[in-house]
Amino acid sequence: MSVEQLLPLVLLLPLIGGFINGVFGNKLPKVVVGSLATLLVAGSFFIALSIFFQLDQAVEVKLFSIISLPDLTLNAKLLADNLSIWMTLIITGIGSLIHLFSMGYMSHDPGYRKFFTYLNLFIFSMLILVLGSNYFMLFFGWEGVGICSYLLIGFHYADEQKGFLNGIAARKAFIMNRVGDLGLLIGLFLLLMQFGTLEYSEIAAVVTAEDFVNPTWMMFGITMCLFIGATGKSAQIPLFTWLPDAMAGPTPVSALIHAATMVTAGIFLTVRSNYLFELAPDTQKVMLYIGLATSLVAAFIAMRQNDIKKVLAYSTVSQLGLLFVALGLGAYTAAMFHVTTHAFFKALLFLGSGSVIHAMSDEQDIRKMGGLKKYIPVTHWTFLIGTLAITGFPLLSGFYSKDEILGYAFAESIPLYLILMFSVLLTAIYMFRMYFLVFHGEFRGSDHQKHHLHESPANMTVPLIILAILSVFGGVLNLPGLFLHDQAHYMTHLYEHNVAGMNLIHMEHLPSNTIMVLMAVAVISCLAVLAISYQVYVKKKSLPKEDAQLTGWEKVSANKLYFDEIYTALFVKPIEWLSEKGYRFFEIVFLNGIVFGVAKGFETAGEVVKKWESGRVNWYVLWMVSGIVGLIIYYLVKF
Amino acid sequence: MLALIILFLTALVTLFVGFAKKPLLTLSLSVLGLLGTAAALICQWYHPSDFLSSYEGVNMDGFAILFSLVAIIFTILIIFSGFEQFKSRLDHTADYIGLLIFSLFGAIVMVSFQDMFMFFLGLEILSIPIYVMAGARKDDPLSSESSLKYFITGAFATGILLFGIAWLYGATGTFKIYEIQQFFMEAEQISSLAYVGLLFILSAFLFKIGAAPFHFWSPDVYDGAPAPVTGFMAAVVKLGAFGAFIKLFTIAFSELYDFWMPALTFLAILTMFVGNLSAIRQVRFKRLLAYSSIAHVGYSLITMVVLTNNSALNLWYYLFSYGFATIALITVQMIVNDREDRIEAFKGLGRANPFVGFVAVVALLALAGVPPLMGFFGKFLIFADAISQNPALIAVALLNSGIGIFYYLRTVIVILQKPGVDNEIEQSEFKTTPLQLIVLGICVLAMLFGGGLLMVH
Repeated sequence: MSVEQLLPLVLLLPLIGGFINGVFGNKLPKVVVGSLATLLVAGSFFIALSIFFQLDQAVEVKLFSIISLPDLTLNAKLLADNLSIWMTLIITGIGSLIHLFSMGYMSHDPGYRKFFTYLNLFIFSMLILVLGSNYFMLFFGWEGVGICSYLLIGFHYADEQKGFLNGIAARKAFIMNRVGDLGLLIGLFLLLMQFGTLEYSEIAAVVTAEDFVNPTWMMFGITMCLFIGATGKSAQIPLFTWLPDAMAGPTPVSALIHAATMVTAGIFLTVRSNYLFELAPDTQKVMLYIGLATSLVAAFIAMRQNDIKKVLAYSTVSQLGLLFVALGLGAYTAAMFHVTTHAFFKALLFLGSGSVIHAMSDEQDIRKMGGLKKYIPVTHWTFLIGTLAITGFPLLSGFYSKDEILGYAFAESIPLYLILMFSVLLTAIYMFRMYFLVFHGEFRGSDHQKHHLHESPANMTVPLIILAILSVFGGVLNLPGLFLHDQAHYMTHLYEHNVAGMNLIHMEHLPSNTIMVLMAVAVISCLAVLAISYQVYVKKKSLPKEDAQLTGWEKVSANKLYFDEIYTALFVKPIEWLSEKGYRFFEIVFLNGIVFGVAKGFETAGEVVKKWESGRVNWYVLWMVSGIVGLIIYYLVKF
Repeated sequence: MLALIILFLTALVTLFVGFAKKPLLTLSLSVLGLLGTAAALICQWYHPSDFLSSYEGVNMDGFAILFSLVAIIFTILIIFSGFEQFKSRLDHTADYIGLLIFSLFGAIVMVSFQDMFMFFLGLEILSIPIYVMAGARKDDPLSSESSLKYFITGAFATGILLFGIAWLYGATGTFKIYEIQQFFMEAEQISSLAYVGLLFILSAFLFKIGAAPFHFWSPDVYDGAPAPVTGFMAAVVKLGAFGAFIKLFTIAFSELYDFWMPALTFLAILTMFVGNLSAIRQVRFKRLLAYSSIAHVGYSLITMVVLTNNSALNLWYYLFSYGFATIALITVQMIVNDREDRIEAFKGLGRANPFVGFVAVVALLALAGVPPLMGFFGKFLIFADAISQNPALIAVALLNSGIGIFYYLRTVIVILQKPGVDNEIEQSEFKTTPLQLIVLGICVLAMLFGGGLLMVH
C-alpha cells in the first residue's frame, strides 16, 4: 500500500484501541484489554516502519477540512517526512514496549482498563502532534497529550495515602503547561497574522524564498512564543517544576510520557520550525542560555535527591536542557539524535526503576534499598547499561549523541563547552551514586520487603532487554565521521533529504583531531567519576545523610533550590490574595449585588403583575373595556 | 373546499360513531378523516383544483394550506395524547373528539376566509366547541368556572368584533377583504368609522390570541380546562387566530399600517412583560404554560409589527415550533397527572422515566429558545427579520427571553432533581400510554430536527 493509504492507519489504530478499551473495556478480560492496546500500538509501529522504508519525498494526506473561510483554512492534514516518521517510530516503538511492560506492572491495579485507554489516547494525541501538517494539528495533539498527561499523573487520585498529593501534582502539571500553551497559542496567532496560514509547507516556502525580507521583530516574537510553549511542555526554566512532581503517576507513564516522548514535543516543535528559528538569532541565544541554566540547575538538584524516580526526573530535565543548548546552537540533527538515544536509555532507566519499585513493594526511597543486584539480576544489568549510556560511557549510545552536542558547543565557545561539560559530569556523579546505592552494599529495607524481593515477570523484563540493546547500539544512527565512514551522519542525511529547511543548515564538522581530544576528555571524566563513586559508595559504604543533617549545598540541592517555595511566594500567594479579595469585594458585593438585585427586581415585578390576575371575571371584562377605550383614545390623539 | 367538506363529514361521522361506544373505532375513524383532510390539502397544494371555486367566501391558497396542515397535525397529536382522558368517559368520547374536530374546522375556515362573513363564522365555529370543551370535566368546579369565564369574556369579545365589522362595513360598503384593501387604496377621505371598526376588530383578535390587556381569561381557562383542551387552545386555536389576524391586517388593513403599527408595538411589549413577569412566581404547571403562551404571543406579534415579505412564514414557523413544545409539555403534564397540577410534582421525572423527562427538558429548552432546537430558529427568524427595522423592540424581546429562561430552567431543574425524600408530596406514578409516547416521540424529533425545515424555504 502506498504511504497515503498507510499514514491514516498509523493514527487510527491507537484511537481504535482507546475507543474499544474505553467503551467496552469493562466487559473484556484484562488480558484482552492489555494485549489489544499493546498490539495496536505495535501495529502502528510496523506500519510506520514500512512507511519509513518506502518514503522518498515528503507526502501530505488531507483527511478533512476543519474550517474553511475566505482568509482562513484549517485542514486536518497529515505530513510524512523523515522527521515526523522518525518521531512516530520512537513513539510507537518505545510506546509498545512500555505498553507491554505495563501489562505486568499494572496487573494488580483496579484501574487497569482505564490505564490502557489513557495510554492509547496518549499515543494517538502524540501521533497527531508529530504527524500533523500544520501548527493547528500540532496544537491539537499538544493539548491532547496535555490532558492525557494530566489524567495519568493523577491516575491514583483515590489512593488513601497519596491520592491528594497525586491530584495536586496533576493539577500543577496542567496549570504550568497552560502557561506554556498560552505562549504557543499566541505564537500561532502571530504566525497566522504574518503568513495567513498555519501549514508548515506553505510557511517554509515563503520563508525560504530568495526574496523573503526578514521581519526581524515579528520573527523574534513568533519564535519566542513558540519557545515559551516549548519550555512548558519540555520542562525548561522557568516552567520545569511540574516534571519532577509528575512522577506521582505510575512508573510506565513516567517512562513513556515524562521521559521518552511528550517532553520532547518542545524539541520537535523547534526542529520542525527550524527555518523560523534560523531567522531569529536572538531567540536562539535565549534558548541556548535557558537550556544551559536548566541543565545545570536540574543536575545540581539531582545530586541530593533520594527518591529513585525524582533523580531520574531531574536527570530528564537536565538532558532536555542539554537538548535546548543544541537547538540554540542550530544543531537540530544532533538534538534529534540525542532525543532518540535519550528516549532509549531514559525509558530503560524508568522502566528499570519501575521494576525495582515493583520488587521493593512500592518503595521509592534509595536509602531503603541496597544490594539488589543479586535479587533482581536482569533489572540490575539493564539498569547498569542505562546508567552507563546516560553518563556517556564509551561506545554506548549516549556517548555519541552527547559528544556531538559537546562538540558543537566547543566550536561555539570554550566557556560554553566547559559549563556543559560540568553539567555532564554532575550527571555522571548522581547517576552512579544512585546506581551504587540501589544495587550494591547491604540491603537496608525492612524484613517484610526483603522477603518479597523478586525479579519481575517476563513481560516486564523483555522490554528492559530490548531497550538495553537499543541503548547500547543506538549510537550507530548518527556516527561521527571518525567511525565507519560510509555510515557516518546517517540521520543528518536523512533529515536533509526531505525535511523542510534542514537542507539549508550546514553545521561545520570539527576536525578529527579535535573530536578525538574531546572524546578522550569525556571518556576520562566518565571513568574517573565511575572510579570515585565506586570508592565512595561501595568500598567506603557511605550512605546518604538524614534530611536534618544536611548542610550547605547539600541542603540546597535536597530542597530543589527552593524553586517551589519561590514560586509560591512570587505567584501563588499574590494570586490567592487577589482572588480572595476579588471574591470578597468584587464577587460578593458588586457582582452578587447586581445579579441578585436584578433577580429580586424581576421577582417583585412578577409578584405585582401576578396580583393583576384577580380571578374575577367582571374585572377581566373591565380591563378589556379599558383596553378598547385606550385604543380609542390612541386614535383620537393620533388624529 | 374539498378538504373542508371531508373535515366536516369526519366530525359528523365521529359524533355518530359515538353511539357504538367503541373508543378505538371513534379514534381511528376520526384520525383517518383528519389524514384524508390533510391529503386533500396536499393535493390542493400541488394541483389547485377549481372544485366549488365559484364560492368566493373561502380560498385555499398556499398560506391557508400551510396553516391548515399544521393545525391538523396538532389536532391529531392532541387527540392521541388526550385519548386516555377521553376514553375515561365512555359516553362522551366521541363528543370530545368531534367537538375538537369542529373547532379545527373553524380554525381552517379562519385561515382561508376571503370575506368578513366567513371570517366571523370561522371564529365562532372555532370558539363555541372550546367553550363547551373547557367545561368538559363537569364534576370539577374549576373546569366549569373556566368554561363560564371563557364564555363570558368570549361573548363580549365576539360582540366587539361584530360591532367592529359593522362599522367597517359602514365605512367601506363591502365584506370582501380584497375590496376593502382596494377601498383604502383609492379612498381620498377615510371615515373615522373605519378606524374605530379596525380598533374593535383588533381588540377581538388580541382577546383571541391572549395579548395584554385582553389576556386575563387565559391563565384561568388554561388552568381549569382539561389538559388536552389546554393544549388545543395553545396550539390550534392560537394558530387559527394568528393566521386570520395576519391575513386580515396584511390584506385588508395593509394601507393603514402606519395607524395600527404603533399601538400593536406597545401592546406587544406589554404582552411580553406581562407574560414573562407573571410566569416567574407560578407554582402550577398549566398556569405557567398559560403565561409562557402569553409571552410567546408577544414575540409572535413582532412579525406583525415589522411587516416584511417573510412575516407570514416566520409567524407560521414560530407557531409550528411553539405548538410542538406545548403539546409535548401538556402530554407530560397528563403523564405526571398531579391532582393540583403543581410544578413540584415533576420532581424526579427525569429519573423515574428518562425518556419523558428528556422530552420535557427538550420542550422547555425549545420554549426558552436554546439552540439547536426548533424554538431557537423560530425566535431567530423573527428577531433577525426585525432587527434592522426596530432594534429597540428586539432589545426588549431579548430581555424578555432572558427572563423567560429563568422559569423554564427552574422547571428543568425540578424535573432533573432526585425524587423528594420527604413525604409531603406523594410521588406520581408517571404512567404513560403508547399513544402518548408516540406523541412525545414525534414532538421531540420535530424539536430536535425542525431546524432543518428552514433549508426547504
